[in-house]
Amino acid sequence: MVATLTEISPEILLVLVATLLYVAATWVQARTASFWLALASLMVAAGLTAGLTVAAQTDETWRFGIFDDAFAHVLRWLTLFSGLLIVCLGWERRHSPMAGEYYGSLLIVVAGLSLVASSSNLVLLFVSLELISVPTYLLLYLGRRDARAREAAAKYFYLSILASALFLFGAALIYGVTGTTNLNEMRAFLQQPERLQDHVPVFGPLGLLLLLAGLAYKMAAVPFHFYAPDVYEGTTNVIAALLSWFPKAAGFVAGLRLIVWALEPALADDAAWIIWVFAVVTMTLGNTLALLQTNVRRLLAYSSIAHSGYILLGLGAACVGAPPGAIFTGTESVLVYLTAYLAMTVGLFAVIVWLSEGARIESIDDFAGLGRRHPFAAACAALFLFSLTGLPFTMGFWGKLAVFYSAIATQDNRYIVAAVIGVINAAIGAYYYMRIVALMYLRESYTDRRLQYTSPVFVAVLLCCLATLVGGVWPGSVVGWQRTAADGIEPRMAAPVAQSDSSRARPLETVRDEGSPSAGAHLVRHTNRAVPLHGN
Amino acid sequence: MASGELAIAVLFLWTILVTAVLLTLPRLLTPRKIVTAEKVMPYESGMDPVGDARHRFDVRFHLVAIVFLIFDVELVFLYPWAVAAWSDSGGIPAAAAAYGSGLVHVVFAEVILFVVLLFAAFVYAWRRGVFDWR
Repeated sequence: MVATLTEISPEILLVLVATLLYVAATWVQARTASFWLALASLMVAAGLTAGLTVAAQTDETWRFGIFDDAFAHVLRWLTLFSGLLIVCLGWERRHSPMAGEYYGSLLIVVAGLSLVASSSNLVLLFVSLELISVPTYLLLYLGRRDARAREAAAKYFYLSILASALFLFGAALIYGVTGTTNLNEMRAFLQQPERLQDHVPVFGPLGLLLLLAGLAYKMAAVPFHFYAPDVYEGTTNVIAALLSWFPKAAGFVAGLRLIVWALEPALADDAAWIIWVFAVVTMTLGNTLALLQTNVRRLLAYSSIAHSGYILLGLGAACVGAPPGAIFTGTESVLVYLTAYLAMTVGLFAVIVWLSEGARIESIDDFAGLGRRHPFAAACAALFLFSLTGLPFTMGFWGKLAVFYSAIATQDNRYIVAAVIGVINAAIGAYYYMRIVALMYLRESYTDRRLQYTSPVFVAVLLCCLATLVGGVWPGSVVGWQRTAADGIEPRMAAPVAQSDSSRARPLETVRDEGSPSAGAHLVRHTNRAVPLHGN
Repeated sequence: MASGELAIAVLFLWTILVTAVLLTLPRLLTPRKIVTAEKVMPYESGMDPVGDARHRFDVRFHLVAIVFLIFDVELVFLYPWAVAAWSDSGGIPAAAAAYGSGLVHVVFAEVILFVVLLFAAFVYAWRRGVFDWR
C-alpha cells in the first residue's frame, strides 16, 4: 500500500502543486512565479520518477490500483516530457490574471495521463481519464473569451461528458461480465474458457464497443471526431497543442492497457474488427477533409484525426497479435508512433505559438514567405511537416513504418488491406503538409514579425526538433525504449518457435503451410484467441 | 430466488404506498383559507417546478449549486468509506491482517487528504468571491 503511494509520488506531487497554485493564486499576485513553480514541479516529478525503479513481480502494487511495470515507467517519462513542452508553450499566459489556474490545470492534465498509463483498476482508469478531461474544460474557457471560444468550450464539454458516460457504461458491462474491476484479475478471469458463461459473448463485445466509443472520443477518431475541428479552431494554439496530444495519448494508452492487455484473452477478435472499422474510416476521412482546410488549426485538427487513424491501425494489429520474429509488434508500433506524434505535432504547434508572439497565425497563408524572413523557424516547421508526412530521416517515418509493418505482419487479410489504405492515405496527407512548406519557401511575405530566441517557447521548439531528428536518424533509441514498455502489454515472440520464458506470453502455435509455399510461409494461429466466444 | 423476487415486489409496493401517502397527505393537511397559484405550488428553491425547461434563472444559483457539490460529494463519499473501511468482514481490519497494520494509518491519512483537498476547493471558491451575493 505504501509502496503504491511511493509509486505514484510524481503524480501526487503534481496534483498537490496544482492545488497550491489554484489556492495561492487567490492571494498572491506574482503570476510569473506560477509558471516557474509549474516548471519546477515537473522537474521534481522527473527526479522522483528517476528514483523509482521497475519493481519486481513480488511487489503487488497492482492490487491497490497501480501497475509499476516498464509500460507505466516509460509512459511516465514521455508524459513528463510532454508536460515540460506544454508548460513551456504556456509561457504566453504568465501575465494573465488566471495564470495560477492555467498552469495548475496543465499540471493536473499531465498527472492524469501519467496515471492512465499506470492504473490497474477500471475505476482508477476512469478517474485518470477524467483528470485529463476536467481541467481541459477549464483551459478551453480560460484561453479565449470570444464567441467561438465559448462554442468550443461548450461543445467539448458536452460531448466529452457523453463520451465519459459511454465509457462508464462499457466499464459497468465489463465489470458485470468479469466480476472484477482489477485489470490483472480481469485478464486472469478471461483466460479461463471454462469460466466464461453464456452472457460473456453478449455483454463482453457490447461493453468493449462502448469502451472503445468512449476512448475514440479522446482519440478524435471518426465518428467521434466532430468536435475536433471546431474546438481546435475556437481555442488558442497552446490548448490546441494540448488537445492534440494529451487526450489522444490517453485514449491509446488506455486502449493498450485495457483492450490489448486486460480484455485480450476473450475479446481480442471483436476488438480487432471494431478497431479496423475505426482505423480505416478515421484515416480516410481525416486526410480527405484536411485537403479542404485553410485555417491552420482546423487543418491540424483533421491532421490529428488522420494520425489517430494510423495509430488505430497499430492498435488493431496489437489485438490480432504479431507472429514470432516480427520486427514491430502492434503495441510497439502504437508507442513508437505516439512518441513521433508528440514530437512532430506539439513541435509544429510550438512553432505556431512562437510565431504568434509576433503576429497572429490563423490562415495557412500566414506562413507565406517564412523561409526568407525567418529561416530557422521555417526550417523547424518544415522538419515537423516532413515528419508528419512521414519522410525518411524524421521520426514520423519510423512511426508510419512501424504501424504499417505491424499491420502487414499480422498476416490478417483485413489488416493487410487496411495497411494499403493507410499507405494511400499517407500519400494524400503529403499534399496538405507540403502545401505549407511550399508557401513558406516559394511565396513572398506580407507580414513582418519579430521572434524571440530566449523564450521557453523557443526551447520547446528546439526540444521537439531534437527529438524528431534523433528519433529519425537513430530510430533504435526510440524503438528500443518503447520496446521495453510494450513487452508488458504484448510480449514479443522470439524468432522461430522458441519458447518464451515469460509467464505472460501468449501460447502460439506455428503451422507451416506446406501445400502452397507461395501463399505465405507461416500461418500463425493464436491458440488462446480461439477461445470459443462465438460459434461453439 | 423467491426471496429475491419477494424483495422486489415489496419494493414496488412500498414505492407505490409512499408515493400515494406523499400525494394525499398534503391535500388533507393544507390550510384552505388563502389559495393562490403561488402558494399551492411545490417548493423548488424559488423556481417554477412545471413549465418550459429552457427558462432563465439567476446565474448565482448556479454557483451556489456548484459549491453545494463540494459538501455533497464529501458526505456522499465519507459514509460508504466509513462503512467499507471499518467493516469486520472486509476493509481495513482484514487488509491490515494481510498487509500489516501500517495500512490503517495510510487509509486514514488518505481520507483526511480527501477532505483537505475539498477544503482547498472551498477556500478557492470563497477567495474568488462565490459567497458574495453580488
